[in-house]
Amino acid sequence: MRAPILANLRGYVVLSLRGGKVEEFLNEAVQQGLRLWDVRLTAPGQGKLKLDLADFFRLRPILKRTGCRIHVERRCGLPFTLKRVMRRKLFLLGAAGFLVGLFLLTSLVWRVDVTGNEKLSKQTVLAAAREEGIFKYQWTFRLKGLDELSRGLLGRLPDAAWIGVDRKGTTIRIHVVETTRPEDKPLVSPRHLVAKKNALVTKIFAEKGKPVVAPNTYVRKGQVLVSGELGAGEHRKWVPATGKVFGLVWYVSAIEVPMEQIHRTYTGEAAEKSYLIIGNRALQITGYGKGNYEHSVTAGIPRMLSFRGFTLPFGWLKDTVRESEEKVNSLSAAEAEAVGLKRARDDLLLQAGSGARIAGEKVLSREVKDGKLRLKVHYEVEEEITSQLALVEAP
Amino acid sequence: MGRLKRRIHTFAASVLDVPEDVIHDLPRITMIGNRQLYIENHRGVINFSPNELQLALTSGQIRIEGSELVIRAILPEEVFIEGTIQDIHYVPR
Repeated sequence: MRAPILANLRGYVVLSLRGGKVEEFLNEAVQQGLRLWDVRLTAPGQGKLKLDLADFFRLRPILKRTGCRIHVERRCGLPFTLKRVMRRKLFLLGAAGFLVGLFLLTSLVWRVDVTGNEKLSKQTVLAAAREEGIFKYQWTFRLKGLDELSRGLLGRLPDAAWIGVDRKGTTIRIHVVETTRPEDKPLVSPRHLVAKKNALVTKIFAEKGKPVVAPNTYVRKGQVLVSGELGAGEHRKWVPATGKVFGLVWYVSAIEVPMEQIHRTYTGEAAEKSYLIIGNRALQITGYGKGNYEHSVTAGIPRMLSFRGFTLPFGWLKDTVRESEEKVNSLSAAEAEAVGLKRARDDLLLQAGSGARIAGEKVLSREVKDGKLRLKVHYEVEEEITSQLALVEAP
Repeated sequence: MGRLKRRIHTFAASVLDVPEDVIHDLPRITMIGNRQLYIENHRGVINFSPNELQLALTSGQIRIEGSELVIRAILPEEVFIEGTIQDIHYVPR
């Protein structure tokens, strides 16, 4: 217990004491309940002590009785400081002004954020917000309630499904959830569907327009399949014809298949070689005497040193030399034919596009010459044969 | 205090195992090294100088000798002394 609690807050005085009966003074003061502490005697009959400010005026009768004299040496604590401060009016005014300024500045809107908008532009949202009273340098106490604001904004922005307004200190955040609209259909002009190849029509699916060919008719390239012209005379109407027409198309494929096929495979043996790269030269560091294979594949990526985006002309290359061997695979004529036909079918289906299938296959000729099998194959492919013909001039 | 009362008090203290200072108004003296001294149940300052402090007790006196003695805090029944304490004389009446 050094000093009473909050002594600084209540204020206290440092007294020097002279003469009289110090002991009696102490006893009486304590009996009266005066708060005093740090009592020390410097010489007989002379001392110093600290006394609570509130008890100072109760001291006088005790002093009179005991014959002690006091002298106030120092005044400490908040009451005295306050008194000193009160003398400096301008300083006080400044302090008050600071507090008022702080309050005013923190009750301004300093930022308006818009999040979640993709199709709506930020300007649109901000303009709507301005009309609702949300803008930069607006007083926060002039703002309406957040619920009311979001409702008002939603009324002003019909493209938003939901709007949330959220205030964090001096920042207003407007969160927008946009409505999703169905995508507009691509605009199409009136057109015919015509054949893009000579073909035998097998199936017609006309969504719009009038089919003008029947299945099992032979059509030539450019012939109209589905007409975009509906009705006749006065009631004629032009529509963009849509639909799908499938037809059989004939192809003749010439295929060559080597009878001996060379496969290159790795044996599993490998060796590593490291190089130091200087400029466009490489100096081999490790791996001498290794990797001397009859057939080999070498692979490696040079790693160049770089510094802040500049590539330096120094680097390191690690090559892996893998031993390989060549295997010769001899095919019989039948095997070679199977390989060739499969390849031809795959090629055709790839060209014909989706929905195509091979309807017929007929080998026209086969011939083995110079170690190769030469095939001529006739294919019937059922595929989509439509292409569009825009009607530029609708009569 | 009457003799009977005192005897009852002594008996109670020994039976109930209560510290004597609670029963008999004796001072409780706590000393921390030779620097701090805390005395409860004193009855006033008799003599105070930098080298000596004499306190009245309910019965008797206590005299503390030392140097640079300072009364850090003083309350009606407690006193807290700091300084270099060399001697404590307990003078029962």
